[in-house]
Formats: sequence, structure tokens, C-alpha cells
Amino acid sequence: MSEHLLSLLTFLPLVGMVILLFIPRDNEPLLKSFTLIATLVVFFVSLPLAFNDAFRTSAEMQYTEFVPWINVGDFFQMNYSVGIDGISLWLVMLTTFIMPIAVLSTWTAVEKNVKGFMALLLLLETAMLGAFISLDLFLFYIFWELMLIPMYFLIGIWGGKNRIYAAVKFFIYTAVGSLLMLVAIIFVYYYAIQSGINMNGFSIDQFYLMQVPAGIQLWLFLAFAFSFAIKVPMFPLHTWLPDAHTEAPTAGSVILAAILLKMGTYGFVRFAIPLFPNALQQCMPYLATLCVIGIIYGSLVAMVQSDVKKLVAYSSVAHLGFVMLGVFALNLQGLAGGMIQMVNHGISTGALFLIVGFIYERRHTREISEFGGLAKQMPIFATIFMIITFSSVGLPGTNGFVGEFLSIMGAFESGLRWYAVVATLGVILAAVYMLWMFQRVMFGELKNPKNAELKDLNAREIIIMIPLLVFVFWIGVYPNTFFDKMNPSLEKLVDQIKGKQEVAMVHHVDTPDNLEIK
Amino acid sequence: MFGRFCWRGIDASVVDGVVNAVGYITRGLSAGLRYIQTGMTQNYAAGMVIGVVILVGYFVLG
Repeated sequence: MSEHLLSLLTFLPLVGMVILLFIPRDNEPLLKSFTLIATLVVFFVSLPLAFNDAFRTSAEMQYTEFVPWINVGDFFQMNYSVGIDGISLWLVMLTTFIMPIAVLSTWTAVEKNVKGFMALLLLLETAMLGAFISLDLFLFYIFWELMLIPMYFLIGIWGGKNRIYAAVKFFIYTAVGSLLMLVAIIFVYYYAIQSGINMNGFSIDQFYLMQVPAGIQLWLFLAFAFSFAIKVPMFPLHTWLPDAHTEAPTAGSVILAAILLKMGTYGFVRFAIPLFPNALQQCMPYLATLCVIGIIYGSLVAMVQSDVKKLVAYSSVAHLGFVMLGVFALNLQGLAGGMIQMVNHGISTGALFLIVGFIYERRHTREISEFGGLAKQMPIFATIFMIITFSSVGLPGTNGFVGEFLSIMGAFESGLRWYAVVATLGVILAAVYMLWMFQRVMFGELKNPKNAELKDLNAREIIIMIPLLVFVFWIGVYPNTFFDKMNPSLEKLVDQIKGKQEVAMVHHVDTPDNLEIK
Repeated sequence: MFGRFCWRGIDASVVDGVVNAVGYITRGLSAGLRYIQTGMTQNYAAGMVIGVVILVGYFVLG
């Protein structure tokens, strides 16, 4: 059983989708409950991964599966090769954890074509899980592209007023990046074959062992980095995000923020950085500058938004800047901080989009000026909103603090010291825009008569938020549960990057930049 | 506020301006190019002949 656990996990949602297609389209309660149960089953199937103690001691891939898949002579070969280590573990868990919450949030929000919506959610879950567990670069690319399609329709069909523009923008932005990555994947594969390496498909383990000459490495890195930077998103490739987030339905925004953005950061950690560490070193000043600009700029733009959802969207740009800064530190603290901040962002920003969804369902507006004084009217909502706001700001005791602190500390101890110092400004700005927004929405007098009849959260909405609140405090107070299982893999990654950089220094003369491929 | 400048001045104008410009240029080009698609075989054949002349001219004379 355990050797097929990952495949079972990944394709269960797809099986669920196929079964869902046989449920009559007008039986909406059944469609919704079925999807909820399917995503819950996936979550419970994934639990053994989180409880597996092997991650504490081993940096190796666990639960690996290997099946040769497409084979065109010796020329082209790809395999269904999956596995999970401490780096992907918590992202897989985050995915299976967020999905039932996202489904539950659609209970009353989605009225149009429920069947299509649920089918796309399940398809999306398969694609996301598949991307996180792929150990074959080509397989990763397939899942990576597969993710685009359900999200495109979720935004384009169930989105807000400007949904078509947002969906097309999201699609083209991401597709442009992925096509460059595809070119780079094919290039690096044939480069490996030509330099005499006996490639076993597009196995990333074998790519890790390669020494690519610096001149070629730079272009390959740029192609990968461009694709991932769009997904993260890093400044100035971020403008699809506010549109997509604002127009997407609540469940779509939650998944987009919590998981799809992590694909970009995960891509850096898993592929772009370990494959091309020397090129990364070359680009480091530029990339770190973009991170810091993203943090400050995202915060400043978030501050002036009048739409709550747009504010949360821009705050993502700032938060992901912290993640990337931590990752680029390339030391254990920074990487661990970046990884935990990915999970944190999924929890806090996912929760913020749910909160925005709650008030949007009640008032059908998201303008901050329409609200004010909601705290007295909706005490439970106010409490939950407050905790999530603190978590997003990074108050000690909540998850955001651990992630931001470690990311900045990692960057401070690496060559990025001054970038870390400037990035700290972003922590202050985050407090400004989040607390100011909270104040304008929740405090003061209840002036708008339309708000006087608002009902507090119902049982379903409270149930949605409780698991998120638990993890806000769990990661905030005892993050070691998560770090313990991440550290061996991250230590291995740090050694791997360092090792490759040293080899490159020693052999610098032997590998001229203009080495051409025969 | 500086934030408003970043949003309206940079996000909406410069970055999105470039992104949308790519879209408009593509649409503009195809709006022009679609007139070539007349559906008349003579036109396509004429296009091929002109192409052949240019290619032959390039390889023979150039």
C-alpha cells in the first residue's frame, strides 16, 4: 500500500471527478457533499505522510515510484517517477488540507453550474499534487501546465465582472513563462545526452549531478527563473495576480494564493536553484533586489487599495518577496524560513480570502469605505479576522512571525545582509496596511445602515476557519513539528548547492564559457 | 501618497501597459493580416509564385 500512496493520493481527486460527472447536475447538495467527501478522503489518505518519522532522519525521497512511460527509442524517454521529501512534504499536506476548506467555502457562494465548478476543483487538486511529487522534469511540466486549465475556467466562468480579462491575462502570463521553461527542459536534456550522461528519462537526480558550463547555465537558469518568477510572482511580473485574485471566486482565490503561488517558489527550490547554482550566484544581486522591491512596492500599493480583496492580493506580492529572500539566502535558516513562510502564506492569505468572501456574500461589495464598525455587529467574525490579521502581519506567537523572522535572519547571515535590512521595512509596512484596513472595516461607529443587519458567522463558516486558526498558533508556537521533517532535506540541498559552486570554481578553467554543443 | 503613484503610475501604466500593448499589437497585426486570407485560390497561388521567385532569386543571384 505505502509504495503506491503518492499515486493513490494524486489520482483520487481525478477518480472523484469522473464519478462526479455521473451525478445529475441539478442535485447540487449531493454534488457539493460528494466533492467535500472526496477532498476529505484525499486529506486522510495524505495523513500518513505527515506522521512518517522517516523524514526526521532521511533527506532521501520517500514513497518513490518509478514506471517507464513514454519511450521513443534511445532518443526520448520519460518516466512516471514520483517521490516526496522534506521539501515537498508540507506543500503536499497544505494542498490536501486547503482543498476541503475551499470546497466548504463554496457552499452558498457558488450557484451557477455547480457540477462544472466541483469537477474543475478536483482536476486542479490532481494537477497540484502531481506537480509537487514529480521527480521527472517532464512529468512536472505536464502537471504544471495541467494546473492552468482548471484555474483558467474557474476565473473565466465563475469570476467577477472583469473575469475574462483576468483569466486571459493569467493564462497568457503563465503560459509564456512555462514555454520558456519547456525550451530549457528540452535543451538541458539533450545537453545531458550529448555530454555522454546516460539519462534515465528527465530524472532530476541525474540533472543534479550535471556540471553545466557557466555560459549555458545562465540562459537555462533565466528561462526557469522567468517561468517561476511569474508564478511567484516577483516584481515586475506580478500584475496578473491582483486581477486574477480579485476576479476569481472565493475558492479560486484561496487555492490560487495558498497553493498555485507556491508552485513558483517550490520550483525555485527544487529545480532552478539546485540545477543552476552558479548562474543563480551570478544573478543574485538582481534577484534579491527584485525581492526587496516586491516587498516594499507590494506593501505600498496594498496600502492605497480601496478594495479589500485587492489589498490582500497585493499583500501576497510582499509576502512572497520574503519567501524568495529567505530562499535566496541559500543557508539553512533562510531556506527553512522560506519554506515555512510558504505554508504560512497559504494559511493566512487563504484565510484572508475566505474572510473577504464572507463579507462579500453578505454585502456584495468589497469596498473598504462601505464598511466600518462591524466588530460590534459580528463579534465572532471580528475575533477570527483579528487573529488572521495578526498572523499576516507576523505578530510573535503566530505563524507569520516564525517565517518572516527566519527568512530575514537567513538573508542577514548570508551575502544578502543589506537586502535583509531594507526588507525589514516591509514588516512595518505590513502592519500599516493590514491594521489600517482592519481598523476601517471593523472599528469605529457603524454608520452604514446596510451593515446594521449583518449576521455573524454561521456554524459552517466557523468550522472552515477553525483548522486554519489551529495552524496559525501551532506553527507560531511550536514550529519544530514542521522543521524537524524539513531540515534533513534542506541540509542536503544546502550541501549540494555549496558542493556544486566549489566544483565550478575548481574547474573554472576547464569549462570555457563558449563551450558549444556538437 | 507614494503607494498610489506606484499603483496607478507603475503597475497600471508601465507594467500593465507593456502587457496590454503586446496584446494590442498581436490583435492589430492579425486584423491587418486577415485580409490576406481571401479564400480565393488564385490569390494563394499568386502568393506562392511570388515566394518562389523571391527564394530562387535569393539563392541563384544572391
